[in-house]
Order: sequence, then C-alpha cells, then structure tokens
Amino acid sequence: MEIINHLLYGFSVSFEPINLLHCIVGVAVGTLVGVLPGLGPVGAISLLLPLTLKVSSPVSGLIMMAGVYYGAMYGGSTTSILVNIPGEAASVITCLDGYQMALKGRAGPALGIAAFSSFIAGTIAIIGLMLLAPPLASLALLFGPPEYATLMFLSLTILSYVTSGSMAKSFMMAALGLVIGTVGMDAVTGEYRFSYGVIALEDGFGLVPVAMGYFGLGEVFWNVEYWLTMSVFKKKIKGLFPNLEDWKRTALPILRGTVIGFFSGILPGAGTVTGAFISYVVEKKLSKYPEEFGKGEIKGVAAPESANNAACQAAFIPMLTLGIPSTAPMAIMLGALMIYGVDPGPFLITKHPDLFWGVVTSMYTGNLLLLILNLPLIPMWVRFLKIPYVFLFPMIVLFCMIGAYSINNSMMDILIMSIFGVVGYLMKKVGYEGVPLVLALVLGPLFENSTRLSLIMSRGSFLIFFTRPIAVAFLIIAFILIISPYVLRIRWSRKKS
Amino acid sequence: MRMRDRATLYCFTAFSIFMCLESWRLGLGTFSTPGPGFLPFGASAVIGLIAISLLVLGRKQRVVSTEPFFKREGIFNLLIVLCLIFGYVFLLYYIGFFLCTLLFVLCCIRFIERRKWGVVIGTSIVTAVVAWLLFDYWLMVQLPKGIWVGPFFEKIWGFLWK
Repeated sequence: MEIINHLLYGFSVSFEPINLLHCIVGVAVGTLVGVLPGLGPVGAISLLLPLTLKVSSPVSGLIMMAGVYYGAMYGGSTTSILVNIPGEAASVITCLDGYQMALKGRAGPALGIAAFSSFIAGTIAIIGLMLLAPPLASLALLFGPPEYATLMFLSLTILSYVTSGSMAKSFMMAALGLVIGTVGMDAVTGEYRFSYGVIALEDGFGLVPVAMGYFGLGEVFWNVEYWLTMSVFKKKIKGLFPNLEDWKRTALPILRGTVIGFFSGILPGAGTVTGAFISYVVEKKLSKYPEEFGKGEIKGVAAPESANNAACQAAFIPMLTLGIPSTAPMAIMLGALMIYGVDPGPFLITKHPDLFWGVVTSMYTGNLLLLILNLPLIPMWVRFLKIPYVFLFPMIVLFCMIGAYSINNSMMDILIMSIFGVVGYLMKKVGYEGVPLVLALVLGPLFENSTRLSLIMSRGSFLIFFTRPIAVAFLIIAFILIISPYVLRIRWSRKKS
Repeated sequence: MRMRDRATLYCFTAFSIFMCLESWRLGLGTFSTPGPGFLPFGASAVIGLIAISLLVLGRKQRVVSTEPFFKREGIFNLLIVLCLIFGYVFLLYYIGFFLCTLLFVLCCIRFIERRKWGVVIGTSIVTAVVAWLLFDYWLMVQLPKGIWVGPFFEKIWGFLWK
C-alpha cells in the first residue's frame, strides 16, 4: 500500500507541466543524440548540464538528464539498424543483426522490435528500481566513513575492470581523476592545493568543463580527424509492427535480456554495454540455430536492446541509494545533484522524496513518450542522419563553449574545457579511457573525506577497513577483481602450454 | 610496446614525480591526522608505480606501429578547428559573442568542406542569431558583448542589445 502512495505522489510530481516538459525535451534530445553517431549520452548530458542549472529545479533537471540517458539507448538502435554504425556504445551489438534485417527488407520490424523490447524492458526495470531502491537505501544507513571509502574504492575498481581497454591504464586514469579532484581548497584544512595563484583553480576543476571537454570536444576532434561519413539506408521503411511470429520468437529473449540488463545496471561499472553483450551471447547459446545470429536474427535485436534499456534504468539504483554512479552518465548526474546541493545517498529517498519518486515515475512517462517518438517519427530521425557533419560539429563546439562559460561566466572555464578536449582526444589515441577519470573526479572528494575521517576515527589505524564486515566484503570483491585478470591469464597460458 | 605508449608512460611518470613532490610540500600529515597532501600523494604514487611497471614489463616488446599517429588528411582539419576554438576564446572578450560565433561557424564550414558562400553565410548568420536569442536573450547567460563592438551594436539594435 505504501508503495502505491509513493507512486501516486511520484506521478503528481512528474506530471507537473514543467517536469513533463523537461521529460519530453530530455527524451527527444536523448533520441537525437542516440541517433546521431559521434555524440553519446555522456556528451549530451554534459552539454545540457549548464542549461539545467540555469533553468531547472533539481527534480526537473534530473528528469531531463535521465530522459537523455534512456532516450539515447532507444535512439542508438535506429542508427545501428539503418546505417550499421552504432549511435552509442550499447547499440554496437544491435548492428550485427539489425542491419542484416534491414538489408533483407525487414528494417521496419527490426526498428519496431527494438522500440517495443526497449519499452517492455524499461518498464519492468523501473518496477525493479522502485522495489529494490528503498530497502537498499535502508541497508546503506549502516554505512559509516570506512564503508563509504571502501565502496568508492570498489566502484573505481569495477569501472577500471570493465572498461574496454587495459585495466592498468584505467587505474591510472582513475588515479589521475583523484589527483585532479584534489585541486582547489582542502575541505579539512582550508588550504589551497595545486592552484598556484590562479583564481579559477581555487574552486577546483569543475565537472562541466572537464566532462564537456573530454567527451564533447574530444569526440568532435576525433570525428574531425577521421571524418564521419555515413551512407543511410535508402529503401522505404514499412511495417514497423512485428508480426505474431516475431513476437513469439522474441518474448523470452526480451525477458531474459531484461533480467541480465537489470543486474548489469545495478553492478557499478558493468553498465549498458556489458548487459547488451551478455544477453546477445546468452541468446546465441540458447538458440537451436545459432548460425542464424549475425544474419538478421530478430532475437539478436530484441535481447540486447531490452538489456541496454533495463541496465540504463537499473543504473539509477546505486546512484540514488548509495551515491555511487555505476556508469559515466550517472557520474555526471551525481555531479549535477551535488552542484544542486542535493546529497545523493541513503538519505535521498527520505529527504527528497519528490526527487526520487518524481524521477522514477517520470521514467514511465518517458518510456511511453519514446515509443511514440521512435515509431512514427523514424523518417524524421533518418533525415537528421543526412545532415553533413560539417554543419553539426560547429554547433556541438559552440554548445560546449557556451555551456562551459555559463557556469561561472568565466573565459577560464572555456580554456580548461578546450585543454581537456585536447587531452581527451590524445588519450583516446593512446587507448586511455576517460570514464574512470570523470568518475574519480566526482567521487574523489567523497573518497578523500571518508578515508580521512576513517583514519581520524581509528587514530591512524588502517585496520578500521579490515574489521568492519561490510568494508571487508567490499575490499575482498575489489581484490578479486584486481587479481582475476592475472589469474585467468596464468591459467590460460598453462592450458596453452 | 609502441613508441607512443612509451612516450605516454614517460609523461605519466614525470607527472607522478612532480605531483608527489608537490603533495609532499603541501604536507602529508600523519595517519591519525592526514594532511592536504595525503590523497594526492597516494594517487600520484599509484600513477607512477603503474607507469614504471608497464615500462619495465614492456621494455622487451618493441612494436613498430605501421599506423601513423595522425591521419594526414584529417590533421589539417583538426588544426583548423583547434585554431578556431582558441581564436574564439581569445576574441570573445574583444568582439563579443555574436560576431565571434558568426565568424567561428563561417570559418568552420568554409575552410573544412569548402561549401558555397551562400550556404556558409546563411548557416553562420542563422546559427549566430539563434544562439544569441537562445542563450543571451532567453536564458540570460551573460555572454560578452565585446569591448570593441559592444557600444556600436547597442546603438544599432537598441533595446535588444542589453
């Protein structure tokens, strides 16, 4: 009964005209960035962040940013199916069968099943989020500084573990993020660190210029060098509704994809990409005709699309209940909440019920809106794909620059953003991912404060991290994750020899 | 290990040494009362240790990369964009947001893909006007008016240029 009351309260918040408008704008922008290759949800949320700070309340702002995130998941499938280029990372796997279906004249059902499976998975995942988040938040009330410090360490470890590149490189990027996060005034002593008399650095590196530079400008630089050209699918798209046979074949893959995606979304670091890949592999293993995968099998579209949407909604659980972002867009949203003065963590549900329940229920509305946006408006999204990149990138750069400037009305922020853009572009060239850096930048101050508080509590003894059961559990998981690649490598080389 | 990877790791090592020294200067404190340099020292040390380990482990694996670091055709476009961005930052204070945006979009489209002048001028004017209306007029972001041109525009456009 209590949950129904919460739900009704949430709907009363999310149906407020201003929040509804934010939701519509969020899902539309999300679909657009999902459709357009070259700017992912991280970049789009970073670009929108300064705008939301100007015009929105925390509830509206988060509703919009959440809309961008799950909207991008929907939109990404359109480009994968029609152009064979993933609109965002989680749609990579959809290219395999989606594009083949399009070549066989079944672009309509492929787009249709992608939208419907996303809708079903998204809706189920929201129910999971609604049911799981409050108990998890009450569990998190048992957390003290040592538990938080170890949880953040675990979070950074998991993220380094699952990023596509080398784990050592990801660790270096996370450590670099921690160092960058310490620039500015020390919260305990009030001393300025690494600011060298530059006034703009006394407040530290802002999340907005860093994220916009790294993911927005960095991506633009990359695309300008490796010029983005696309050949859009030219045949007329007809029959968006999958037939009965399609539904029969995809019902179970959608459910399995939802479950896999949901759990990969909760796990900090695993995120949407891992969920989509696992669900595809599972379906291929379970199929009687695995050889059909990669040749236009509809299950190969339904399963990963449901998984990436479920993961996307489930990713809100650790962020809203523990204050731990499990993916890069979540890290930016967490940063946004902090800028708004909202403290994410176990008290968020009790202190800001409007925010929690408003955002959760807005996802129902958003999912429905996306279904409406994705099916009848597909020709319009396809038209966006035909805009030459030479017209798009100046707008993205412009938006980045105005966004960075508008935070503090400071030229220095544009300069910082541009420098991080160059750094992001160069780092991408040498295979260093930016996600651990941004996550560490957000978590850095929290990690530092909880570690220092823990040490003050224990009078300098590190044993405090090894004597509390929850903290020990987190450290053990982190340790297993760190050594597992090496153990696996040793076992593999022994097997080989 | 490729030359570019080694160069990156040397940069990380140098950065780590510099940050460790700077953190030391800030004061590491004691374990019971950690100082402001405590976390940056630890994080920088981790960077340095990983970078040195990777350099040592990869010293025997010399790989000559056949792929150039920069794509020849693309790098000129990239340099143009970079110059335009830093030019934008430099000129924003002097010629203001409107003219800066107009010139930026114009140069981007004209120099990178050599589109027709009509398309270039039309797109840049529309972009500058829309961006100005959206950010300056509607969202009231206090964008620089430009100390060289601000008073001139104020005379022509009157109440709109506030």
